[in-house]
Amino acid sequence: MTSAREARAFDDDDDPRRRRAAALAIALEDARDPIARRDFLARMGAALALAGLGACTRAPRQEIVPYVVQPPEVTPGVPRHYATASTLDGYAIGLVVESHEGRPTKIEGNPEHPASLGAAGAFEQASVLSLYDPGRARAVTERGSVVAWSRVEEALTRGAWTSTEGKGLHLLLQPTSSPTLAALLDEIRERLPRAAISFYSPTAPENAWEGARFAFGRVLEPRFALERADVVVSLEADFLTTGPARLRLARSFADRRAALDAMIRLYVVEAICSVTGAMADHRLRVRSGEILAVAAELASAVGLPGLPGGVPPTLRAAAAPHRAWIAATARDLAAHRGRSAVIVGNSQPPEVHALAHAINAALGNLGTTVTLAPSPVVDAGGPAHDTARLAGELADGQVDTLVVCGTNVAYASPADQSLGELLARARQSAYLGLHADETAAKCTFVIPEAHALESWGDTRAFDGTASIVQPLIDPLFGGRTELELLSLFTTRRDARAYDRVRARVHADLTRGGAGADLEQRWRRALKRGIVDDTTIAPVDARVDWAALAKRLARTTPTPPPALELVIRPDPRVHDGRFAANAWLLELPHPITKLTWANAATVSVQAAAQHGLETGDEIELRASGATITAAVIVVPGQADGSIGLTLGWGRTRGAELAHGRGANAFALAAGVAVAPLSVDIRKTGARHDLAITQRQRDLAGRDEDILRHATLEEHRRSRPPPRDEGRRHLTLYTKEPREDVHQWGMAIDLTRCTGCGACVIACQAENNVPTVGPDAVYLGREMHWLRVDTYLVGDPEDPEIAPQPMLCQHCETAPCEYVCPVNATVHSADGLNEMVYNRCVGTRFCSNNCPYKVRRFNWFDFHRGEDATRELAHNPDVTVRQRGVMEKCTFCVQRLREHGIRERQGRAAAPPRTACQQTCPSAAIVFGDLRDASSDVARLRSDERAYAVLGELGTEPRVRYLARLKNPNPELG
Amino acid sequence: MSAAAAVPPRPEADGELPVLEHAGTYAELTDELLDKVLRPPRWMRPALLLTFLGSLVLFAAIAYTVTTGIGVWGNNIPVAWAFGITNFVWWIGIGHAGTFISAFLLLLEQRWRTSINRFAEAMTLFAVVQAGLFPLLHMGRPWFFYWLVPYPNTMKVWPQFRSALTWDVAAVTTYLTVSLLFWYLGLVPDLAVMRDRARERWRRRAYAIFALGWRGSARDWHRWRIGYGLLGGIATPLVVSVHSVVSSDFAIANLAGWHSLIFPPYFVAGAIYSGFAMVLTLMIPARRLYRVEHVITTRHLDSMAKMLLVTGWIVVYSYAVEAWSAWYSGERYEMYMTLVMRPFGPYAFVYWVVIACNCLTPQIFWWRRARRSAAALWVASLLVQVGMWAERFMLIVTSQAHDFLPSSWGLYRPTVIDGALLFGTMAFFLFLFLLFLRFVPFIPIAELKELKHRVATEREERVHG
Repeated sequence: MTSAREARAFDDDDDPRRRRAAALAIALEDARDPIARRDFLARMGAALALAGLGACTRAPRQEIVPYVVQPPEVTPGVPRHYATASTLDGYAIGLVVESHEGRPTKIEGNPEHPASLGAAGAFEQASVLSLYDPGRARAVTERGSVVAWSRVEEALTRGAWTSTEGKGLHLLLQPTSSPTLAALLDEIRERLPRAAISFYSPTAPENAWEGARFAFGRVLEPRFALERADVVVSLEADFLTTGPARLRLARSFADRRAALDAMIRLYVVEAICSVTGAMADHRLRVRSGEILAVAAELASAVGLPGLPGGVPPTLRAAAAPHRAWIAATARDLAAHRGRSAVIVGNSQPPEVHALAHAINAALGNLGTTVTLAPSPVVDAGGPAHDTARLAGELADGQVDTLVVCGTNVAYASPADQSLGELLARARQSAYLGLHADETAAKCTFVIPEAHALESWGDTRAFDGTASIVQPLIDPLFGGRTELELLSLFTTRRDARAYDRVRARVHADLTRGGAGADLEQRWRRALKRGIVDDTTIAPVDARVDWAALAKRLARTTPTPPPALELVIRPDPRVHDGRFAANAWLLELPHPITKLTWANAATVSVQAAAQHGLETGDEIELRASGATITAAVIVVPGQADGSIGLTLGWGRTRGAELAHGRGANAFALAAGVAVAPLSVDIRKTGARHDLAITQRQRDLAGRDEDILRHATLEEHRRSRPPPRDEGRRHLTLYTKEPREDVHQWGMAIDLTRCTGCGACVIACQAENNVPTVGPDAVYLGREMHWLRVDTYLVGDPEDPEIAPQPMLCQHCETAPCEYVCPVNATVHSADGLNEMVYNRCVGTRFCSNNCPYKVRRFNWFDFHRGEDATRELAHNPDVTVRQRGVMEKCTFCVQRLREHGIRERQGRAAAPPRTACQQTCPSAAIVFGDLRDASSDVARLRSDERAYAVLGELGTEPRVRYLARLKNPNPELG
Repeated sequence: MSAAAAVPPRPEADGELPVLEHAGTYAELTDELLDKVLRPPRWMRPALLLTFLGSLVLFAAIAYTVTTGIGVWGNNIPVAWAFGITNFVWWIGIGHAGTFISAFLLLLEQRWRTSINRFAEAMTLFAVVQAGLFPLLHMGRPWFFYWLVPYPNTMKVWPQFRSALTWDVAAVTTYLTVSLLFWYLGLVPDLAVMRDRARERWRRRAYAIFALGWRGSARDWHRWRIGYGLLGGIATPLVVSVHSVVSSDFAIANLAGWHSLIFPPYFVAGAIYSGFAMVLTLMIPARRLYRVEHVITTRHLDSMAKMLLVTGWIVVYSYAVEAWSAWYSGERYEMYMTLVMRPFGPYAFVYWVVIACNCLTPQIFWWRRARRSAAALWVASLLVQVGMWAERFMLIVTSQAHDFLPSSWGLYRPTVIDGALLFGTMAFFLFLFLLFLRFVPFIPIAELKELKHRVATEREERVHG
């Protein structure tokens, strides 16, 4: 309470910035007290509302003042939604963010955005937690001491380069597609023509750009229309979970997967098991280094009539053992001319990309399933994306002022350039970052970066569609955006990001022929989350066969190493940028189910050969460097490959992840490098790996748990006898209620890829705590929704089958009758409800749950939470205390809100659960079972529908649809 | 040591060994037995101190658990019940022998029960106290334990009567209450003797309070006899009901290996088995330390050994039936649990300990020499208790560890706190037991004199009749 008094004292301060900072500090302090927190929320809400966020016409940098008159657009307790976008490696995903009284709490995909289609992945879902990360950089510092912003402003804008047209000034950015940033960079280039600007991300699609240059003579990016494709071949492309169009491709693939009359067929050639590989009908496991040969062989088998001299046999030689497989695939492709596609992963060299373009051209796919268009990324494929020049100039001491924006280059730098070491050679350097990380430690100035949810900006999707990035909240720690920092180097130093974005979009809109309705269209762009008429039109690209032939002739295949190291971006922390995010750290890896670390993956055969088993530690020696990593045996991986993901082994700025996992950057620069030759040695040490699912096979229980078949088997089999007529003996009394909704869910296993987006969506929506690696190891993870991933079939090269598992809301729930205190009961609308404040924690319900979806608060998991972290909580969901059981509620808060709206007579869209809403492949369908026309009712009566462990008579409200595959009969 | 012990064992009418080998007068018998309490042996003080320190371990572990959270145990999902419930079932099982001996054998007119019944009842009481700790502690929010009790409340919520845990509360509290009353009522005449004989004034006062004004009049004896008989009658069905109810904690669940109709009799037999073993574990050293071999005779050992053999065989039969019905059901999960997971799974070691201790150990009692050897019996009793604890652990943990969905399979590893609680309850149990030995006559003096009288009368009848 003393702090409240101080707050009043600060009100007298003249400097609004100081006042605001003080008010925020006090508010955060007060947030520990639940009643004061409400007060705080009101104040935060007021600040944003008065800032005009609702109208989105003014930047939100305003003072925090309490409500005097409640703003008309804010109703306490009713969340508002704003469209914005997030960017990964320069490509945008459109988002809709839920905001409670000015506090963003939940992120959804923007249904109108072409890269989202309403879905969001794990990274996007988790970004709200990064916003409230108490470990974020909080103050502008110079060599570790806090300084005023004016000091940075002054220092950065002075230097030798001011008199040499910018020579000596170097800007290092993340790849970007922002039109405003591009315009700003042009401004800088114009003013300081000799300033160097470069872009760096370890996961940028440089090989793809280069491959397009080989094939077409210029940088183009392929876009795939899987909705029109019948056969898809992926050459190490994990297109369902990586790449700029991942969510869209997952959706279109799933749609064609579930269309049983026209089911798409997928061939995947890869070394390391990926989510896309798990969805393949045929998966050829070969070493990453041999895929060039496979591509060449495939090109040759398909036939490239335009290529003078054909595909050089030397290129194809290594694929000889797989010739039959490739020939069958080629025949399948050839049978689907114009309705097929070959997709190549970024890790493959440019030649493979070029060959794929050639195959697509030869198959007549260009213009139908594959279209080509220039990249939305600024300077894509250009020299600016090479950091070699920067490294050279740093080494020579030619860099006077270096500004690094957002890219943690000291950690994630190309191993051969060791930029981290070189950063100190600049006279002065500044780092704009969310965390005081490895790069921050090497730079003179550290400037806290504003999170995307705190920033004005813009960004473009894979197809060029521009979105405006809107702030949902005033920067919590006074962060600045890239636009604001780089404005220092323009003539308009003080231009606010908001003004720049607005000016830029207005310019676009004016060019589009807008007149008087400009303001209206600006508002419309903000509201919808996309700017009209900004897509980049595809071009009619022709393969330059002569150049390609020359190029291929020059290519000499390097003999693959005995043991290769294949580096992949991590599905949880990507390249390390999400390593401070507890939700992502605790998200099980989709294939290995490992949390809180990465591990070197080896195949069953390679493990046997080297005497390794899961949990052993090995030493990896490649390109002169050595690291140690724990081993996980992954059946289905190529025998000659060791897999390792990027982003682990962080040392600064991501406290939760420090020292966890192995830093792959120590061995390689990123994913765009050729597989490295690696030596491994068992050290004898053991790691307790926090794996959430240790038993990977179904123990012969396939029929009860995860039904899977080929399309052919499914067609041949008669529909299983419906046991509607059978009389179940039961002690339960069920009252079928016709007067209220009867909620139910259907999960289509043919669609589900097991990507894990739903897990994070559920965690964000339902205030599910993270527990840390030790607790995961003990079996105490709290995820209400988990994705079980089973290995089916051949134990050395199995099929990988995911199955989301959540509370099944059994109509005759085994958990309910064993609870001694009535803490878990059934609702009239068919939910199995958990009454937290009645629960005494006997855990009998969990024992009696055949699906083991109940989670227990072994400790007070929310206790240690920082006040800032608490802001991420969904106010509609109870934060559970120690000693109570919890589990999936079918997002009951959304259902009840829907019910209230219905009673008020306000028409409302059918409620959706968080998992359903975010699922990129639309595998989860939720709805009212009474309504026979609803999707969920229709799917429930599908002949593929079954209840997991149906024989137990639990009568779950969740039904699964059997997982079907569409193998090529020729390959059996 | 009185001269009475030197009397050679004379067979009784039924050809068995005598239940009492005392040749002195009633007064001598009284003096001798009272002497054990009035002049405690020298080892008593250090033994009390030691077990008290052990009890402190228990209290510390409890305090840590309650303040920090149940997470300090090794439990997880899927194994949400582990040491806590294992200990509960084990202790409550041990508690069965007392009531069985005092009430059941009373009805069956087994005279050898007299010398050991109070001993066994005290053991029951203290075992139930230990047992009662665990259901409380294993709750996530133990401070709300009373929500399991049906009491009128402003929340207008009753416990859920379909849950076996609410039956448990009723069964265990009933059992504790009846056992306490039965034990205490039996003690009253002897407490009166203590009141009369104690040297210090404060002791006389204390005993007087508990002796309830007993004067030894014919009316006192008359009322006492009716009350004691009635309580015995009430206690007898509890022997069967308590462990049947406890077994329902598992039997009503749908887990393979729990969901079994054989559980109630199986658990009751196991309970009596382990209870007898505990009586032996305590009785054999006490009998020797207090030099009462003439009161707790070889006959007692022999009878107890036979009981072990009988209950042991019921347990063996239960195991066999369990395995057979799992196989005969053809049910995938039952078969996996009973025929694969338990004998060959990750907890196979525990399974084979169970088989060795519970099935093989009692077989030595086919031999008379083993039945009459205190050393053999004592070792066997320890093994049986280890085996019965392991059996409960196996039943409880294996079924949870590998249930229906392989994805959620997981193992349980105990923590130091788990160990401290188990060890601590043992220490606390012994501590309470030593207090009992220290302050009240652990052999019912009045009843024993009655027995002596009957034995003598019978003998006379045999001689003269």
